[in-house]
Amino acid sequence: MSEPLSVIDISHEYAGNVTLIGVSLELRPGEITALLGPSGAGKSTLLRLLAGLETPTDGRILYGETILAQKGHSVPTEKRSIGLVFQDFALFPHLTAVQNIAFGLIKETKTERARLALNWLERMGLGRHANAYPHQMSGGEKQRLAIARALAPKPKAILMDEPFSNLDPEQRDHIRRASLDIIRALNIPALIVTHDAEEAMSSADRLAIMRNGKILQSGTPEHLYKHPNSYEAAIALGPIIELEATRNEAGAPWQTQFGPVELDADKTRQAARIGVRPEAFILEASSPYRAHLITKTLKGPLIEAEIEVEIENAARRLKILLPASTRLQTGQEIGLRLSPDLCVLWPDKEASQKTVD
Amino acid sequence: MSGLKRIATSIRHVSRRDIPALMAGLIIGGPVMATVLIGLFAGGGDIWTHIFQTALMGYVLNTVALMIITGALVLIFAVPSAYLVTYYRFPGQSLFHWALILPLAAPGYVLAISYADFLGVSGPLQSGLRELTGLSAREYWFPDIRSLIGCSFVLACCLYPYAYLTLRVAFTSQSVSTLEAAKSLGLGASARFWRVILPSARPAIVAGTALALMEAVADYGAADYLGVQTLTVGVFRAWASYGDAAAGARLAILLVSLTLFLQWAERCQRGAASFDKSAKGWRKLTPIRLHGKQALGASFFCTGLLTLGFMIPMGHLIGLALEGSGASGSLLKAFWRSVSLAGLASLGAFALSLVIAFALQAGRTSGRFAQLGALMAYAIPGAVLALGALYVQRSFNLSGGPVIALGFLVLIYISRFTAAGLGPVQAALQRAPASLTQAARSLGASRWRRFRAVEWGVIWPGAAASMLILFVEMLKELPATLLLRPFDWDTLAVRAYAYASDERLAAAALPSLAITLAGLLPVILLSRQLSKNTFEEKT
Repeated sequence: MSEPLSVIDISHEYAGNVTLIGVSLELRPGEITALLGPSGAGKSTLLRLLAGLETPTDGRILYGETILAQKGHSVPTEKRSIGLVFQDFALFPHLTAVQNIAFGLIKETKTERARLALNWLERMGLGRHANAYPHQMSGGEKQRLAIARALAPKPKAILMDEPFSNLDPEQRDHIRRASLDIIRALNIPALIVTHDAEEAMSSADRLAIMRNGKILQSGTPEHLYKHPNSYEAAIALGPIIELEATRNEAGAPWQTQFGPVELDADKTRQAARIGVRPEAFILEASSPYRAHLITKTLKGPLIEAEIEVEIENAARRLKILLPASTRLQTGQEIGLRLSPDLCVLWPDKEASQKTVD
Repeated sequence: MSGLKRIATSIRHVSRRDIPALMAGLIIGGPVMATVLIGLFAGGGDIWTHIFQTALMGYVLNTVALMIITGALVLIFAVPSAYLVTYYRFPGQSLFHWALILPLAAPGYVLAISYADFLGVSGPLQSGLRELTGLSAREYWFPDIRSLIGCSFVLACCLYPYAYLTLRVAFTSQSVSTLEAAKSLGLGASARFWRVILPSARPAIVAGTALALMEAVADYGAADYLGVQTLTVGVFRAWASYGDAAAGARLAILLVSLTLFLQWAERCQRGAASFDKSAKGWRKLTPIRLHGKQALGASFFCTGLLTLGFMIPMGHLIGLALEGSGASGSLLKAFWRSVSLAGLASLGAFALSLVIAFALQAGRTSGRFAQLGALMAYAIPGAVLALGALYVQRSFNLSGGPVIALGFLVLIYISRFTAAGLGPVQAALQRAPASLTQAARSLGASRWRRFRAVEWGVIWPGAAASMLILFVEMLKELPATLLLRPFDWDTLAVRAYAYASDERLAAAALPSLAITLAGLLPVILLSRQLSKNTFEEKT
């Protein structure tokens, strides 16, 4: 029975530089958690702490109730039984594929090692590469081999540092899905470190957004996308447009340039700023809230439309997303309204860079 | 200020894991420090005053002149040859590509022994000339090899490959697009060479020449045999003739300053080396085929260089060896001593280079400290390091038995040559990035298993190259061995030199050839490695 891997109020310093400040996170069995953030956010440090490659300066790391690390003490990596997958795969270049997988099977007999290693190769679709050396394999094959090597010794959890970033875009989606399905089936905690928001949202069951050594917000990808708790958390997952909003009385809908929006939070204030996802705009011919279409660019199933609106006697240009099926002419006047599902309320202009909840 | 802060932070972060590298640094840097401290604080005395008044100026002038002439000859030999074999195709080009580094196999004193006889009055060249012209030895002028210019020529013949190698790498890495841009701007082959190729290879020219000059300054055997009083010869004589280690150490400080200056000059240039690597897309250079007189000229130049640097001296030694009476018992004994001494010391040096390389890979300050010590010791002549050891032996009355003497000799070999073994180990370790070891840890491997099953598996080809290079460098070593060996305990190098000094050239030929043959192994390995690095890895 697998247990959660928990990080509780962890801090870390390296050569006098603070890299993590009071980070808490729980990795649940059978769930894939993505740690998203730009480089320098501290996500790789957190992974290394979980792996036992670094020791925290404060806080605790637990597997179930077992302490893996706390201030000044850390169970060594080799004793943790936590699988690691590196960005560069870190395959042993002098060992064949089957030997790479068998490397971690230290408790089994020689025959059993070979059998298990070959099983894993088959499972990852690498059966015919058993005797190939890593340099004879493609990027995707190496990546699958690295995952198989980490999973073969039945680890308590698996940690992956940008595991798919070295793959070609064409094979990335397919390999990612196949690999993550296998990991999910093992019912162990799994962590993916990535700087790619799209990858994080499409592959993870839970998401944690990191910046400057802190976790800004964690939750399901959908919740985080629709209800970011700060401007920083919002832009980590995609572009956001800020609009002024007012209302005459507390509890009434907020009035914006694109019509009224009903948002629950903060029932007392009368002026605020609203964060709006570009796809929150709905085309509605009868809407009294008008804008001019300046340019349009096809982006897959959507159109990125640059519109111009007049706000407080000044023209402002915004980039919004509309369904590709929409028929639009450049220069055309269009009517718009907002879907409240993709809008979030910031407290005020000054506080828009800070946590809201 | 920030530098001081950095040092203070580094010292604060010294841990138990730094101890092996710190110990390695102390073992390697110890003899250098000892010599410098003796030179600075052990007092001068009459011998020093005598050397200062009578010989010092001569030593300095000779050393500087030797550096200038050798440097000029190295450039004349290395630049055209590296340019020709990299940019053009001509008869023999693929052979010259690797064969031009063969002179590296022979130490300077072996070339000096061979050339002194070959060009001497009774040597085959002058004898042949006299037979041909009917003149007597007094009736014509012939350049004297036993002179400053002769010594510079001999040293340039065996040291030009240092510059040739760095230039070949620089020329091969030259951006093809830059050359094409130069062509499109109307530059012909000659203008491209002078205005594009040569300026962009300037860091390599300085680095290669500085390396050759460091070796030239450190040379004892060739200079002494050919009668040129350089600083290294002075250091040696201060002990061997006057028995004054302190006076020798004072001379050594000058020598150390000179080598540090050369290292500094080389480093300054290396800092600027990045400017010639701006082009992004690397395309393999396609050599241009030369025809007619141009092809003939190119082949002639390279053949001439190979003949001067390798074929004449080695051919002459083979001739002398065939005239001799074959291997004697004492020669076999010397062979065995050389092999066991170099074998033991190379194992020690290899172990230290492994310790330093691992510390460097882990980003430990102790590793950088030890590496610095190793590089300094490598740049300093063997005679200088030996002097420190002699002083310590004498001060602590340790000059008892052969075991102590051999112990000091092994220590000096290790100190002097560890840097030569460190390079290949470091290069090999780059194939084993930290993530490999971390992956092994995450798979439950203990420290010993990580070393045995992962790191050693990846680095062993580099480790073997490292041990081979160390072994051969130690086999060739002469001045420290001459100073420190127990009485009547000869190695091949000592035998070759002693026979040559006694004018028993036929007897000197065999050990000289044996040393050169052993030296050929790492040279061939190096040549193959370089061809692989420059072409396969970049394409």
